[in-house]
Amino acid sequence: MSLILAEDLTKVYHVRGKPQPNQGVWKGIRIFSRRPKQTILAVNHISFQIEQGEMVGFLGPNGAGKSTVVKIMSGVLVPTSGKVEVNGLIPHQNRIDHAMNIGVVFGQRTTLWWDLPLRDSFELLRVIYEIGQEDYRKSLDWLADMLELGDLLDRPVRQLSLGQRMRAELAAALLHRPAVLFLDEPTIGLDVAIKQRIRNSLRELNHKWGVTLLLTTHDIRDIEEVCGNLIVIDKGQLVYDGSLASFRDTYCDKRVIRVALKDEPTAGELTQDTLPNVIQAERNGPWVTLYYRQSKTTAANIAGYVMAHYPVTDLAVEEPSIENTVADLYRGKLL
Amino acid sequence: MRKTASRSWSVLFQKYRYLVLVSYRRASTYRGAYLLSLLGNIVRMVAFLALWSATISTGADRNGFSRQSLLTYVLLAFALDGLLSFRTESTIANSVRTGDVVSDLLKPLDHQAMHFADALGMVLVEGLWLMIITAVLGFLWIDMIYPTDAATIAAFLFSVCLALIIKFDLAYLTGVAAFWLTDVRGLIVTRSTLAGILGGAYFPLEFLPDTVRRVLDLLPFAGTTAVPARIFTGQIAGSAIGLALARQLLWAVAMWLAARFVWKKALRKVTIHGG
Repeated sequence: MSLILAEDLTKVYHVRGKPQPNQGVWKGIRIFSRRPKQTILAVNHISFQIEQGEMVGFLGPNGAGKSTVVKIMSGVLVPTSGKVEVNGLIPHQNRIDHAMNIGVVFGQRTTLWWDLPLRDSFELLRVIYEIGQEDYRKSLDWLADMLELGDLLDRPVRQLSLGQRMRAELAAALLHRPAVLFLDEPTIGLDVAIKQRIRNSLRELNHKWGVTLLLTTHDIRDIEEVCGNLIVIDKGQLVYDGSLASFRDTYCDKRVIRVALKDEPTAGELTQDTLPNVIQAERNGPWVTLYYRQSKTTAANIAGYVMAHYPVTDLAVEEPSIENTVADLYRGKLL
Repeated sequence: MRKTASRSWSVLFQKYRYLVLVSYRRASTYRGAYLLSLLGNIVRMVAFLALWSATISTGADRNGFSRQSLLTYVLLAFALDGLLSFRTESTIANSVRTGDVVSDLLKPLDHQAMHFADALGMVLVEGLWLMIITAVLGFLWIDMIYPTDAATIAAFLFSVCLALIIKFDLAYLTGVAAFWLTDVRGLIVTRSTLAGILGGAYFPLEFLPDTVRRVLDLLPFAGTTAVPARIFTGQIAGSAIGLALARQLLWAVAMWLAARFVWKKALRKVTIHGG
């Protein structure tokens, strides 16, 4: 059985909209007008499964419903309809037991006690999560070492920088050795080195403890470096659910090769030419960008053909960019 | 392998006791800030006492109060009103407004019990200072009366505990109202003023018409201040103490359950702010 299961998961928010404009002075005053109720379909019949030990990236544009799904999964929000099960429990119905088995990090919030030294926050978590002294010491040693927390333990949380705080948050979410870790934008606002540190730690964690991981992010590299699988949602709906490799094959089929020619007129000629398997050509000065489909031909074929027929001075084959693909996906170009 | 939160009372007691301790330590960290706000309270307390002692004549018997018992009541009611101040409701309301309530919900803790433990830690700090101030003003200025037999003292302390539970639940309900209201500042002021007047924190309920007083005695508010203060001054004595405590206990339980119910309702409709 899957560790995480969502079936037809739906969440509707009811909010009061703005009062209708142009209804006269009296209507403009709030107590005289009833603002119409609006419903927002934040999550729209989403189904997916995650197996034990999987590391899944959860991707979607702002407002797609990622955080809502994470909150339902962690037992904080009650879904409007549909089924959700994590670790054999229905999160919102068994919130307290469920909390014993999951770790959650929200990149934009703190779950630590602002005015306590980090060590005291951890000690408090030990009591709350009923962790034995021996287990606690082992986990803390290991986490402090991996996340480089040694010097920070005696500082109050309010004095920590964002990067230090995020590492502390991660440790706090893991002290009780949860089976599942939910991360909502854990690398937001962090510098490259700390992002790298966190990604490495997540991999190590999965390897050593077998933690199942669900990670939402806007940084595609988080997903490329950590996750084997990918779930993409947009406007509350599931857009993609599968492995990162097959995502690349399916959606990053369009590749790019750039060639520089000896002058601009020649570059213009190349742009006009019909090259085998090239689906599009763009010129910028002496540089020409050629688009082709990976499934139809190879970079070598195209480069060979162009070099045989044109005076090429420079040439670059670009890595397929998941980032661009995802951006296209968000803009609805691919589907 | 799935872990479950312990259901054992001793483990739960330990958990929440630890939370009380941590809250006490956190509250003591901001001693300076707290003492400043306390200073304002002392000024009000002194002004109140001065006003009362100027307006009542010596020896006159007003609604069953002697001058001494009335001044003692006023002083004590003021101290009890200062216990468990605005922190509970503003903490909860803020956590709802900013969406940080998520952090509370992610912990394997009962939300109400957790905030009660937090409030108690604060009460320990506030209580200590209020006790000192009350004693200083009471003994050096107004020649306060106080109970001397152990039974009355025990009844008074028990009554204060019940008063704290009722006060906490009123505050908790006000804070949870933020799920519906977004901005509860107005409600907080209204709540504390109304509870203060109806609970007898600003003047003894005996000064009100008899029928009004009898209705107020039945409401939970009387249990927040009037009941413990009356026990202290001897307005309630003998067998009446048992009845007063029973009524207070009933309200403490009822309010606890009511607050729980409202919180559960709030959770079902919760909209977590800030994505």
